[in-house]
Amino acid sequence: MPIDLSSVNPNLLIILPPGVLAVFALVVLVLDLYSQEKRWLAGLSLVGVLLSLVALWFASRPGAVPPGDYFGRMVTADHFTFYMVAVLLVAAGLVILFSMDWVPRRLPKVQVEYYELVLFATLGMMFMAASRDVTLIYLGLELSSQASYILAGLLRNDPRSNEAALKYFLNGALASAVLLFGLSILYGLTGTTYLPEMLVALGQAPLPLLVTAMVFVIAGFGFKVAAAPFHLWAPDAYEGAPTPVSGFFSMAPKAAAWAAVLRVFLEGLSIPQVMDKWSVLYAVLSASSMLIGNLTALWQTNVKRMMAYSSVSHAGYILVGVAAAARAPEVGAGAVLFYLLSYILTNAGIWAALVALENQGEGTEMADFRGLAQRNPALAWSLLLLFVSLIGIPPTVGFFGKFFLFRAGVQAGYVWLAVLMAINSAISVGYYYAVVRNMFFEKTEKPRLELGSSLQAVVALSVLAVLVVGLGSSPVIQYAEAALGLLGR
Amino acid sequence: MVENGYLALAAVLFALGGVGVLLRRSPLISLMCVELMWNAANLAFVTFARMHGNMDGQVFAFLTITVAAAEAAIGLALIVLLFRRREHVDVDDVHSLRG
Amino acid sequence: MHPYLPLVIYAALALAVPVGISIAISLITPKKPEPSKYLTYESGHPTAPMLGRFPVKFYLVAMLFVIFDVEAASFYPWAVNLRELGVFGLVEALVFLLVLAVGYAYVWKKGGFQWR
Repeated sequence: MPIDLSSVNPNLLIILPPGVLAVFALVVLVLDLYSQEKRWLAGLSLVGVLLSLVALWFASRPGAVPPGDYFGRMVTADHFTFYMVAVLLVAAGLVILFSMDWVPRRLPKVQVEYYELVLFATLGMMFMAASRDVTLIYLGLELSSQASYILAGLLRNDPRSNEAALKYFLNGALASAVLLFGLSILYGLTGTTYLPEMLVALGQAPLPLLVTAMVFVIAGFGFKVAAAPFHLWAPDAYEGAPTPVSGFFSMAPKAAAWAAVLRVFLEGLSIPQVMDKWSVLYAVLSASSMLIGNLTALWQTNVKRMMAYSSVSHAGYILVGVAAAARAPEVGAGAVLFYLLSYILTNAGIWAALVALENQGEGTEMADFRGLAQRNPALAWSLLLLFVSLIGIPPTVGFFGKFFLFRAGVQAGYVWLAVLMAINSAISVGYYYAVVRNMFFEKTEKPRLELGSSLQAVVALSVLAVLVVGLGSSPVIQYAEAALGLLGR
Repeated sequence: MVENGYLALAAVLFALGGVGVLLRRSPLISLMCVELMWNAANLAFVTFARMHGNMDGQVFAFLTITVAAAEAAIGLALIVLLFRRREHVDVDDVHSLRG
Repeated sequence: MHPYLPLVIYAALALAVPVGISIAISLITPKKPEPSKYLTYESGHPTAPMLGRFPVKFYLVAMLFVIFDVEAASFYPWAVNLRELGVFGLVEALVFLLVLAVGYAYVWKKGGFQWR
């Protein structure tokens, strides 16, 4: 039976997905206080994420919420919001799913707090992606960051977790202060925090100050997405943080930060005088992130740390699209949005494998992957496919993601950057192959590696998505490119 | 114009905070310096709000104060965790992770 | 004069002041290192190492106070505009209060207010 939504206030409908998530987060928090049995609360958190997705499906149906701003211009209804919120919810769902066996073993005392923090962080990220008012973007960023700091330090008796949390916190706090100061200058120049109005008012602003503010904002976001040279916290935070948390870091917060970058720069700072400048700055960041990330990853012996550098290099690839978006907005931003989805889907399976190793009491060093093909052939072949996707070899989703970025780079005239990206993809084969070699060509005496049903589900979903979204990429990229067309430009 | 004075103060506070974060090695002092930078930005927001004659900047500053309080709570909690383990805390001593 | 010139000057000033002070201090300070100068002075009271100075429970109380204090301050703007905001404002404030109450219940139940 079709449900008539036309009578529902669009203000309530657009706020429904984050609202559902918030209600579930609060309910889980209260139930935690009165419940002895904790495991079912993990399931309840997952239900919250899924119901939020359902609510999003209702809100995003044509005609349900007309494109525009709601809730005092704080929340925006457009394809960009719907796409990014969906991506973030999928990431959160996968993270909760692959943490279910790990959390009771390693965090027996703060089990529910773990899911709480993941939910609250996701809530913050949803608002980052859904708003075009820098006030709410900043608040969302802070909500997600602060939840992330605590997540990184949840292993209270592990000095490495303490250290990871402290480093992540100090760097993150500095980054938000720098970002905030940049935003304050932008507000001073334009008298508004609403990006479309900012764009109009920027024409009269003096260029030197505008560029100063822009540099502050780029540096602030650069920390959050771990683009070189602002990436120094990432390897330590990834290595020291609890493994599923590192997986979460590599998937969701970065995607939300990219969404905020696209919003702020394409909707707020897209007057021609500054567009060229930030485009070139992002191109330089892109080149350094790709090179530093990939070359440093080659020397890593810990897979979590290697994945951290890998994520730095992937930030570099995504920056190709951001730099290109200054000159070819639809193609550039569409490629970035598609790549975010492809990166999250691919990473989920890889981090699930790392979590599986820790579930059996093993570490996450390269050596721990020895003979994985004997111990669990299905997992080893799945990982091979996922690494192939990260490298960007067809027919996986990673290939299409890189292809769209490459095309955007070329269309925007950044041929050198596109070529550098191709070269870097070749370099990245080196460190992914190190893991593959350990899995397939080394022998081990260790027993079979059991995954458990929830981890199996994540790996299966990841593999399936890498193939299906890869081969069926055209509707996704069309939606992603159209997302920007509705930004109201 | 009196507003210019406040902007100058904001810029000076921000720079002092930034220098402090980069030069001082104690996480506690780093945290205080970051708070200083936040408050510099807040001061700028409030001053600009007065110059433009609208409330957006004041609202932003108001919300940031809450954010900063929450952030300080988290930062201090993390530092207390480290204190329990070591006699004193110094950023240079925190290096059981490479890098 | 360009209207924004003062801002540029202030930016330069902001950089010059801390750098200048640091340089000036290192230039004019007479340096007579003596061990007692580097000791902590606490009103003549014998100093102890940093650890154990204040029990951590003070920190917890102070932090909880700061958080709830700042949150409570958020009610003032709403209270001032109570009439203009009407029912919508009331509902928003109640939602905010509810979230705050859940946080309060969490702290209470987890023993955050216990002095131990």
